[in-house]
Amino acid sequence: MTEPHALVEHFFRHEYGRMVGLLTRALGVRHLELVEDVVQSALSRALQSWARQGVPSDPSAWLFRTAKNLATDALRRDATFGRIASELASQLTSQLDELKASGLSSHDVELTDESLRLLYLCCHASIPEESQIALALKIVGGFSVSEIASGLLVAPANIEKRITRAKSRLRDIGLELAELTNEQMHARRGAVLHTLYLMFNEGFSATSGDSPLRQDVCDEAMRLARMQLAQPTLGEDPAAAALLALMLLHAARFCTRVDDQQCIVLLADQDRAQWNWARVREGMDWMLRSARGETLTRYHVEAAIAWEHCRAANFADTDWHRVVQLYDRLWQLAPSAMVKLNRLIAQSYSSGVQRAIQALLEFSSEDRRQLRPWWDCAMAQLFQRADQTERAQSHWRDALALAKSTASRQLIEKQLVGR
Amino acid sequence: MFVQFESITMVKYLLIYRDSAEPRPQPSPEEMQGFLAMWGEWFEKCGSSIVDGGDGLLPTGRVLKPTGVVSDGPYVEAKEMIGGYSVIQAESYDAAVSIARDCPISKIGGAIEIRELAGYN
Repeated sequence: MTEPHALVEHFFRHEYGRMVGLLTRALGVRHLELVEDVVQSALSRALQSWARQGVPSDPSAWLFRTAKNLATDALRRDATFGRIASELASQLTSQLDELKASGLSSHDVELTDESLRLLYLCCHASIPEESQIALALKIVGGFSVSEIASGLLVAPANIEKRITRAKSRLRDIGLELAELTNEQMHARRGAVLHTLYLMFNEGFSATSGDSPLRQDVCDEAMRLARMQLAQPTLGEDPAAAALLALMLLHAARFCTRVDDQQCIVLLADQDRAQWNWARVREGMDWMLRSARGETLTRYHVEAAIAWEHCRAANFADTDWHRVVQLYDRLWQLAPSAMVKLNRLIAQSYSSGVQRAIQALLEFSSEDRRQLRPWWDCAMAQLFQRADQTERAQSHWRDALALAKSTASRQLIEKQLVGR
Repeated sequence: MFVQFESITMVKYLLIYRDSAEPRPQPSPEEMQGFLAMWGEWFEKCGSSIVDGGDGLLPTGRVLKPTGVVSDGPYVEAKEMIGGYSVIQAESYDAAVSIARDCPISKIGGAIEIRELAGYN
């Protein structure tokens, strides 16, 4: 008997995704609801039993056996399965044997074909992106609706709706996990990476330290990115390596983004000694590994920008010329108002504040609307640096009126009071 | 002549875990793992005080009335449903209560009924 806390971190959550993958593959996507119920019950039973008896030597096999039995019972009870119930039940049994034969134990939880297939399914083109993220977090990541809601700063009812709709889309599509070929998975890799990129951004940009769950969402995006890279049949994809590098280089700065009062700390004011340098190093390794092939992706360029920030000893030391060049590259690959704004801010450090102010004033009203409240924040900061306090204050006030999150409001208020 | 040591007699107590019968949102996998870890810590802390970890009870059941009528479902009174039990040993009710106080059941809103075993057999 081992101690219950000897389980690896997030064991239940990750097993949830794996078992949902395994059972869905056997029973079909149309029974996803039943599969999720069965897996939830299997975990409850594990909790009851392991709390008293200790964790069994192969917890993954224990869970899957229990889930299989529960699924078999459910199949027999459900008249719609009729005669195929016993056929499906024996299919499940042979899958368990296979699982045992391949020696998959708890150590390999992260690297399974089933979770990966499930992820590819979630990222189907006919499901809206925001729903892809919620669905992937739910069925692959094993997060509950309320955890996803606080991780993404969206109301639980809203998340519930997105997931329900995405599941009904999946049923309509009628694509089965077992039918996904390697070629199909190859063809969809770009879409999956994009979803993971958005998932990470959602978790990362919803800045406010009040919920560690945002960090969990980012960690999940990194885990899924690693899962892609570890899949031998897919081969190591340079874009996926670049994406993981980008995530790691950002995640290295997690701990310094908010202060004790949960206020946002700007890059210029962050204590670089506190950054997670092991993550920076790992990010750099993946960046090197991503430098292959013919295609330069936005992930490559964004990772390079993040690397420039990590590389500088302090804010003033940043190679702003290089950062501007990289933003130019990014603009060619993925133009957006945010890229334009970030490029200008970088440029203001290399070629002066006045030029940047001029360029910001030339932003279209559509760009400004999209960038709310960041356009005003940028203007305010530039005027501040140019010692035009009055104009800076007026932009801070506009920004404050437009700010959506409590954390960004706090940050702006601090600027208003501070000057 | 012999010296008689004052010996402490340990008494066995049954802990009856009473969950709320009201439907509760299902715990997430992460919460379940956290709960499991709390059980582990509690058991470890209790050491030999735990005589029998006991078992959990499934939410289904039958009730046989003295009239011979059988009805479905567990016997639910005062909106509480028995979810499981354990057996511990302690010197007194006070000591038993202090052991039960650390039980994770109370952290998820469940009540614990503590009953001394009569020891008839």
